[in-house]
Amino acid sequence: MAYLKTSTAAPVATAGPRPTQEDEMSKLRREQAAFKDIVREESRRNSWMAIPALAPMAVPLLAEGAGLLAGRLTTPQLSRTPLNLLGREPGLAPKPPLSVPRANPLTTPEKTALRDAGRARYAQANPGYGKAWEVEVHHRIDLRFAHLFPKADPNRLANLAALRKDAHNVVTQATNRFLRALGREPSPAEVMAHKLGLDKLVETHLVRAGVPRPPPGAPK
Amino acid sequence: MTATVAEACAALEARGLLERQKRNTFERVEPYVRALIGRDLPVDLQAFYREHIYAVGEFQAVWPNWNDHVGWRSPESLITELLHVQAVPIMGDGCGNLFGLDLASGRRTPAVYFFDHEDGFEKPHYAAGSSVATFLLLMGDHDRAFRENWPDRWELSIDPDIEMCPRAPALWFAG
Repeated sequence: MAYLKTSTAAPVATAGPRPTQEDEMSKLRREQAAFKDIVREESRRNSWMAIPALAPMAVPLLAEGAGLLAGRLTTPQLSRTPLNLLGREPGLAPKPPLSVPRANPLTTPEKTALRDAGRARYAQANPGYGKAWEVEVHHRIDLRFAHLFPKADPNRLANLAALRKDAHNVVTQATNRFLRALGREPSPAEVMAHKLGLDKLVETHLVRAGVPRPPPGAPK
Repeated sequence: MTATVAEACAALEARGLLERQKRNTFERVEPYVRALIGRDLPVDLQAFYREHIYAVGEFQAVWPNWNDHVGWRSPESLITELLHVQAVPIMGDGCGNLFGLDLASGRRTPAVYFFDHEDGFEKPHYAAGSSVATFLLLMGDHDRAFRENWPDRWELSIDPDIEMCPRAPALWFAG
């Protein structure tokens, strides 16, 4: 029962009076204020660290802000011009012109001289060619497009062919239709694509040296 | 230079530069062409058909082809191809282009102009002769002038009036 005696004994009196709740609160507030001062001072001392830390976020924000500002400034201009979505789609965007050096189209005297030379060269390369063939020398790529191919000789043999008049008329009309449909000066690639199509069209109408012609009066 | 078509043809034939059609079908050709173009033929054009020219040098004449069994074998467009620009084709250049006799001026001896097939014969590009006679003489020397590189404007020595044609300039003035 000794332990019962010990536990029931009166508490030992302390040195001073016990602090009240208000005193404890005021002490706590003082400590908090001091802590805040220390935190503020530390923050002030380390504020330079925010620049590298916030830079990745600041860059897109600044860019977006600049874009918004520019958009606001250019709105009057955009409202005046028609909306063009084709240029923004990669597949629909107009192709930039090829960087081919372009001279002026051939003049009439130049074309005349080239035609004379073309007939002479075709006759030289095709023994027997003459009036009896009753054909016309056709430039597969027309002389009107010769300036689009400045490095190519318009009278190269690969560009010359002999066609009867009716077939030549068909070719010329097809080229004129091609130009009318295009509505502008064609690019070299467009001319070449058109020429390849025409080559297929007239393949069976070509007149060649050594290949017998249909007899007179045969259906064309 | 006041040579007639007949005189020019005789001069060219003497030099071996002119070939004639095997048959002279002028009696058929003249009314046929007159009906197609809807007017009387200029005197020079009649003279040209009367000479039944097949070719001058390497240049073939435009000549409607008559066959006794089947009639006209060449299409009517052979004659009417230049009617929209008031001309009648009389010779080709071997590359699809045509030399056409002017019908717009109404002169007895109209000029001959070059029409380019690339633009659909839409206009005369240059004067090829101030008359049919001088045109034939020029065509007779054309290939030789090219081969021998004759000086520019050699045509003036044969056709001094070629620069005065009303519908198109001479070749050296054509752009």
